[in-house]
Amino acid sequence: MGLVPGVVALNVLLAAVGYCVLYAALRGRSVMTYASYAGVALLLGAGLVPLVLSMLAPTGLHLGLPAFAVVAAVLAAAGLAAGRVYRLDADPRRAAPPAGRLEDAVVTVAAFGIVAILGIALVGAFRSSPWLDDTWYFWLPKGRALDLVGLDPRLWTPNPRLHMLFGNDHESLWFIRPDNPLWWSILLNLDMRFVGSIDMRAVNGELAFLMIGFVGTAARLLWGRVRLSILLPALLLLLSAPEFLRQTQGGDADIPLAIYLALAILCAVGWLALRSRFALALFVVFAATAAAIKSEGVLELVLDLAIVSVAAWRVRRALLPLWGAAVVAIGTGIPWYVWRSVHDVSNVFSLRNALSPSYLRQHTDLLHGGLRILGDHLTSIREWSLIVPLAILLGLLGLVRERRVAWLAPAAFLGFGYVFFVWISWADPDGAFRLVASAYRYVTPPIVLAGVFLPLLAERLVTGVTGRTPTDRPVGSDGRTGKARAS
Amino acid sequence: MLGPLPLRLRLGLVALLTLATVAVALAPGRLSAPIRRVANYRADTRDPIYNAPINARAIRRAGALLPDSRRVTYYIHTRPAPQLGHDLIGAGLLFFLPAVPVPSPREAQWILSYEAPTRLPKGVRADRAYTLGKRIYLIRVRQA
Repeated sequence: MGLVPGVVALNVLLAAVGYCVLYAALRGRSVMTYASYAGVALLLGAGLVPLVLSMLAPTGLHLGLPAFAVVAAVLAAAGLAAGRVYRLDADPRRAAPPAGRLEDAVVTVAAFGIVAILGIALVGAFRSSPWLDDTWYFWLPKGRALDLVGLDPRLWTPNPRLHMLFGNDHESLWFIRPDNPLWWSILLNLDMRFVGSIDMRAVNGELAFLMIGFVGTAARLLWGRVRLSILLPALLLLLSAPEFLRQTQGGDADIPLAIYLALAILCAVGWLALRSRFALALFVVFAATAAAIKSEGVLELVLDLAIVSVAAWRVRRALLPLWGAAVVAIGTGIPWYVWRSVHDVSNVFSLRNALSPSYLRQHTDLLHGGLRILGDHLTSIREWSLIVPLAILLGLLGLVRERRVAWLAPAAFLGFGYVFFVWISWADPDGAFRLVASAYRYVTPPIVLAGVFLPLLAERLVTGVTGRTPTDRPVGSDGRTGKARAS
Repeated sequence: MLGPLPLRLRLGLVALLTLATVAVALAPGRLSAPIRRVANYRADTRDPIYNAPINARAIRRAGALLPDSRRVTYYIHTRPAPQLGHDLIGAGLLFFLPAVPVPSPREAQWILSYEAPTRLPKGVRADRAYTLGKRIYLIRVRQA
């Protein structure tokens, strides 16, 4: 098909599958409402199709276009059939118009900024090959292998005999990081199949689509619950972070992980705050996808859910369904973990080292290195703009105002994420190398997660101070007032 | 959903922002750097950005010549440069699948000879050789 038509066609198909899955929640809604869920539909389809394919991988099935077509058709049919039987209320809210001219100007400028950045990033994506060699060294080749030979243990199982010596350096002939799940590799291979050849620019094209889907989904889920003059500038702040934009052209799986993890936790909070079954259903898909992207996805998901659970202890009766949904989401990875266990593909991060006081005592240099390097990336305004300081500042303001620990959840995502990766790096025999090579990416998921909660923190603070909720209509120039209709 | 800003003022604001964006995009030096980076003014090719100076066309040609069979094996014969070896393994995994790499020329049916000190490693004999570039060959081999 060629580069642009191929990537566009794949994402249109994935969004179509997502819309079919959303049928139970959107049945009978207007065309405009359907259109407003385009980002959600894209991320649902892009999450579910490769996820189901990755569950089928251990059977030896070749994960090429025929498998994609069958899985996409089955998911779409299942979504439409479920939509005729079940009803989930997506509860799409309308946003109240900005209250004054200044607020309206802020909204207009922020909306322009979001559209401009996404547009430039999309064009740039199709003009750039990923700058990180992991993409062409193992992420995409794994997807090609799954398509051409299936999940072949020869390529995944570490085998000391399969080494080559170049000068003074050994290189393995099997895939490095064989422990990582298969979602990203499968999606990248589908891009190449739709393009018709190996074109690395399709990787960045796909990342740009995921980024657009992420902004669309976050905006849709928070629309009408956060006033536009907060929501759009906050999304612009997140989207314009230099490191976020840089990594969306790197080709690695950290941005997809950050996107799906952030949306999963946002939906978890949606369930806890609103008891929205729609949010809980989205949580299952987004969480399952996050767990299927990188090995650390499961651990980060559990850690962030634990933080949310502590913050939401007041509504603890709602935690059981949430953790039940998390078990279902993580359970989708069972075929992969069983296959890994059968073929001795262990995690590169050793739990034995991580829990061994003697090992950790002998490697305190890595502790110091981890604290410093990860801390530098986490707090760098040059890399992540004001996301981290604002998450902490708004959390502290809210804590002082309401004396509720829930305000500190975004700061806790950052703090515990930091501690978690320091600990992992400390316990990793290759920690020194990985800290230098990858630490800047380790902090991406917790920062994006904290960033997606900035609008909620700011909205709650403003509502508390002004007493005006985001759905209160302003007084019109003709003197009329009124509440916005919740559609 | 539109707010109290008059339409004319809103359009003027959008026009102003568009002009400012275009001006920044065209500005010389550091001012345009953020947009230049994201839009990637100097477009890349479809090939991977290799760390070592790899002949991307030669690698693609080798991938096209290798038979599409998982029973096919190949060996990478090159000079003792770690980064070059690393990149050639990655390029092989990307372009040569379903053929699989082997660590010894004696196990290989094909040799990718890439700027190596000798055209072939010891212990194998060429059956047929394809020239892919300067000192770059794909060679079907017979075991000696």
